[in-house]
Amino acid sequence: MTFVGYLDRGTFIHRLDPRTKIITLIIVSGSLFTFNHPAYVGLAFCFPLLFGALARVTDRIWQLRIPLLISALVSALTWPFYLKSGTVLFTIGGFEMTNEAVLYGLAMGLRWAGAIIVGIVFLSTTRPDDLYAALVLMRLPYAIAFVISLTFRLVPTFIGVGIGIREAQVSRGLDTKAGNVFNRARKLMSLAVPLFMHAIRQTNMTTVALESRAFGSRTSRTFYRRYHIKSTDYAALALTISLLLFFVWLRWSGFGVVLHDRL
Amino acid sequence: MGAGGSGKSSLCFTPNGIIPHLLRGQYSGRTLVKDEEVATSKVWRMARHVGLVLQDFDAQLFSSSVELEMAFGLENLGVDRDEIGDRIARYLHLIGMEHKRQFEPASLSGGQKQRLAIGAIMCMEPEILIMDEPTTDLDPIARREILALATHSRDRGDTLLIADHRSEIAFDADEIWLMSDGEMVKRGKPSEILSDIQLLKDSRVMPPPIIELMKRLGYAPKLWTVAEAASVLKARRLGQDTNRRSRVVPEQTNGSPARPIIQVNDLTHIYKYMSIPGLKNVSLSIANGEFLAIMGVNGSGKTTLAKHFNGLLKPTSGTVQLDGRPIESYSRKQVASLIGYVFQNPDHQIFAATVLDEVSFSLRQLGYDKRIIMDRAREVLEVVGLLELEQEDPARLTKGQRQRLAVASALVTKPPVLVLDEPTKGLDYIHKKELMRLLVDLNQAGHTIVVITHSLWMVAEYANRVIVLNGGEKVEEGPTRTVFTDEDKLKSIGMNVPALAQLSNSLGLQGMTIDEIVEELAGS
Repeated sequence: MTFVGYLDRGTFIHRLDPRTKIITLIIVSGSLFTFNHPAYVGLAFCFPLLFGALARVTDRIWQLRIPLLISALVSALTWPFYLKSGTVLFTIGGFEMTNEAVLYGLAMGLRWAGAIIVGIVFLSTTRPDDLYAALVLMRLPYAIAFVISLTFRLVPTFIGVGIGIREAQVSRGLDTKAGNVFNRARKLMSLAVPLFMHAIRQTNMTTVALESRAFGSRTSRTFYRRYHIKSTDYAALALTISLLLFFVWLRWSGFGVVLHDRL
Repeated sequence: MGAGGSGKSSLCFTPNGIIPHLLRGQYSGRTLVKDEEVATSKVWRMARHVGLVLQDFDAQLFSSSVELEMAFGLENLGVDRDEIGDRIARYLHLIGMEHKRQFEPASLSGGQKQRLAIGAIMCMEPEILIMDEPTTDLDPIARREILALATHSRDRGDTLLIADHRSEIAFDADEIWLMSDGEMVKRGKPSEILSDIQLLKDSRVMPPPIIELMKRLGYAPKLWTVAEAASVLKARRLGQDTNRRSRVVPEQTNGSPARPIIQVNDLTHIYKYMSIPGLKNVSLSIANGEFLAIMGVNGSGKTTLAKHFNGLLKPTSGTVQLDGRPIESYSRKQVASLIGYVFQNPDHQIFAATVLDEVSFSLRQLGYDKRIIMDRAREVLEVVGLLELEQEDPARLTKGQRQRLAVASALVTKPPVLVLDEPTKGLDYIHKKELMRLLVDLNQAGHTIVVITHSLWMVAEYANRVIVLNGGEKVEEGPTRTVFTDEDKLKSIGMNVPALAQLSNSLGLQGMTIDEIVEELAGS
């Protein structure tokens, strides 16, 4: 399966130090939160896309367009029902839609999609081992760092097992589309229970395997792969930090804001 | 050596302290490794002395490249970077995977994954290497490669402890510990233990077939090889009238050609998202009522082919017909009631709270009446011998029972065809025999049985006809006896003809099971 996990495209983004990638991930996500006007969030949205293009993983983003679009739409369509302030544009079923709320909804949709894209680019360019190393080098305890990286290591296997379970139940006549709500919940159980049980068993075996490889050792860990902050890392950090500062300055000066009382 | 549940794994988990540190329970007595009390030490500390390889290779690999996988244990031990580099180079060479250094472990075949798992333990250079069923999920080629690695570590003077349920693995051991129900039943040289047929059977371990045969024929118990047995039996047949055709094995041709129930024409399948080989121009016809085996090594396309029989996969080109009509003309539910499909791992489908509920799932999906559901469910539970357990939680059943539950779940719709993908994987000898006998009964009751497997003795014993796949292509097809005559051809695609069939071939016999051979020799 190619929907998740590392994509070896060998670009300079791939070669950045994993610590740089983590900081960039935080900054670029943060920049999506500086504005709440859709045009300006759209501006900030360009940067995850730019990084995606530089890392040559746009095909991966495209593969995930449907979930991206759905999460953006859900956000864009629900916010206007919730926010009341501003000029009323029209009413649906007794709900007043204000100009500001509609714009804010659009901005939130873009923000969501942008944040997911940042995540996709990060995971497509960072190996779980490097993520683990980076977190340890950033002084996180081994165990916590490993659990975080393990989550990403396990996702691809889980997808594989999930597909197997679905095939097994479909062979037994499972039809997820038919039936009422109660029926469907029961059908969902036929997929969720085996997956959950697999997760528990797998976790047990992984723990056994990990400890057998001396994980949890009190001696201080070494890393076979070398990690250096190089000049490209400094450049990437300088670029993203200056962008963030520029965005913050814009917001400070009153640009890119629809609703002042909201993030 | 011991069957499933005999306590082999528990024993394997003790020396490095997985038991009692990680898997807790009642623990008494002591385990000493190099004079160190395991119970008061730590697993990571014991890991310097004791390396442990598990059966499940996927659970043991967690790095994103072969090289980093090898480094992982050494990094944990705080070994210096240059030393790690040296060891990786040395042990990658040993496991024959230098050219895969930068590959992702997930992209490797099962055999390669297990080799990597072993390499990753060996490069930590423990003096004691323990392998718990290291070859159970592997095909014959991969199994040989793993055993060659094991032999290497032993030649180096390390202690090697292998747990397995198969006797053929134990021939070269210095000593065998036979386990049953959590106890060590007997401890001794291979010649002592492997020739004690009754003891092995009582411990639910399959006795080496050649030794069992020779014992049945009245020869002294020893570690008989195929060649030795063949020369002794040839001498015995000398002077006897060998021209007389055997009368025991019925001709395996069907009198009148039966109606084809599955027809595959020029089927090609190319996987879109996965870099695994598919199928190339496969054509075949499965007759109503036959017992067919599809065999081939891992990655030969067996499962891919079978998944076309019930429409789980769509052909890239070519056609599949069920009972004379194109598979696309059936609804999902119609296919489900025509073809019962039993997957490799029963745990991927078991979810209900009771055995009865689990079995009824298909019928509920197909919208049957409640009363019919109950009747049918009980009927199939009776057939697979689980009726007394109908209110039991499936999770509490043994592996063999869970596998039979999966068969029952597929049978409950009374499908004319039953497709089983490696149905005996992970089952011990007795459970294997039970399941295969069940399939023979079902076959005699009129069901068409299609079994996918790389376990050749089972094919030899039960299937009427065989289709052999290699690299996504059909390379051989015919009556089981005929296919098993061409030992070289099967060997060239990584499949070893089972010992009994080899013996039978060299004696010019027809039979491939102990009973058949004994009877044939008596009759000639």
